Amino acid sequence: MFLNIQNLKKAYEEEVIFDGFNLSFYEHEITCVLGPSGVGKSTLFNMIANIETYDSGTIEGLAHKRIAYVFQEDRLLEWKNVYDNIAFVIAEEKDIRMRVEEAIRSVKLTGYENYYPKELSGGMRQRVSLARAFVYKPDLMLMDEPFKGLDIALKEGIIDDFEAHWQKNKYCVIMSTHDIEEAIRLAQRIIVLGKKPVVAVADIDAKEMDKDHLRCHIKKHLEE
Amino acid sequence: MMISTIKNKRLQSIVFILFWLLLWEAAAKIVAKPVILPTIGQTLQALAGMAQQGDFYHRVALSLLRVFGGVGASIVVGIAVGIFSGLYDAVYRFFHPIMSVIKATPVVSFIILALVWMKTDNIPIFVCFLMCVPIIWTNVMQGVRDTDKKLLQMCSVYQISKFRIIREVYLPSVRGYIFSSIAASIGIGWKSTVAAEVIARPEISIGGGMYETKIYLETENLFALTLVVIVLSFIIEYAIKNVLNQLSKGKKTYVSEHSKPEKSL
Repeated sequence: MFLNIQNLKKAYEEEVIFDGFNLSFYEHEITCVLGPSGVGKSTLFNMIANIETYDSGTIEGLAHKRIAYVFQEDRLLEWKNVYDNIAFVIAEEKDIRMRVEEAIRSVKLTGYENYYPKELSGGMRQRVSLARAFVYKPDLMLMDEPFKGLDIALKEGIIDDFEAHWQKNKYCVIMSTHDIEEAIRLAQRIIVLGKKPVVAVADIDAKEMDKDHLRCHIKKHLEE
Repeated sequence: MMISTIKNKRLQSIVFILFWLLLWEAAAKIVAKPVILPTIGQTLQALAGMAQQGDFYHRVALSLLRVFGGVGASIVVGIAVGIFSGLYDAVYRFFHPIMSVIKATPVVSFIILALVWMKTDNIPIFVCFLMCVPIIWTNVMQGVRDTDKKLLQMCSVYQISKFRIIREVYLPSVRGYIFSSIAASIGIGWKSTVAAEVIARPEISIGGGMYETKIYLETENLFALTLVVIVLSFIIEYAIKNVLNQLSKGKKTYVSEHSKPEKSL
């Protein structure tokens, strides 16, 4: 087991988001988290990333682990070019150029190193954000609806980039999405979250099912 | 279309300036007493007379140095204290009372106090510093507070050190605020420096010259010296804005829409 969430409680004033929430994630696995809009997926990710507090419970297994986070928005530094935005997260002094160039190659942005974010399209900006996560060499990659709002061709391209990188490095990935096809394509495991207070209404081993069966299964749980 | 609109606006501005100059000239002609209100010609004549004396340039240079000294010190202190006040609420609460008092205190109170505390040569620099530092401090602190929280969360996830966050996230975010507050400080720096010079009368200064015009009732010299202060203030403000704009272009400064200076005095 890589990450274990136990008895998690989180409330915003009167609204209880999580109450006694339990979930585990495993190494070398892509887990997709599906659920209705506003159910608390981003809150869950933020709590795992330690940028949002929770009221009680535990999130275990992250001590000394490197977490990369591909946010819904790219969160690039507007005053740094593509190269510097990616290099920004590298703390080590060795091999910076090689690592950044490799990350840029892997998201097919070679030639755009000196461009500033405002000179890039939304899809290209999201690729930079993905390259920034790649170059960090994470143990855990959080991806909060990373392909939202991209057109189909672009989305396919970015998903290919991500899949190729993951195949090489096999880190733990937790990704939220609204797109069932995206989840079926990428995930080894699919979690469906139910309404607040949030519970995991389904925990599906995607490797064991054929795609049609999986699709029906997910839809049934999402409609619950 | 756009060019002709700009040309029209320029022409309009020139006409308006000419109107005010004519009004001055007409009022001076009606009053007909240079000691109360000199004409434009008398003022320019007085200026030409002063420009022929060697100590005039010495006065201007020393006054300029005092302005740069005061504004420069306020930039260094304002930025350093402003960043930490924006980052830590306790630092903000520590400095807030003193900055509020400085903002609310009449400049003349500081000048008189400074007369007791220090050498007359240093008083204008000290007063200029006091008048400018709250402007820089307020703007830098606001800039730090307006820094995009989402970027700071990203830095936290990727374990970026506090030093690098200050240097690579906060400073570029507040650069626009710093530039605007420096431009705003120049005018205030000039006014307070000259006011301090008039009262403290360091040996060689524009303000000292103004004080002498009062003693000898040389109003046209007062007007001439005031004209020098106004023109220099415009030139410095214009030059600094240009330099800062160039810096902004070169460094791809991120100018937030909130980065408008807050003035005091």
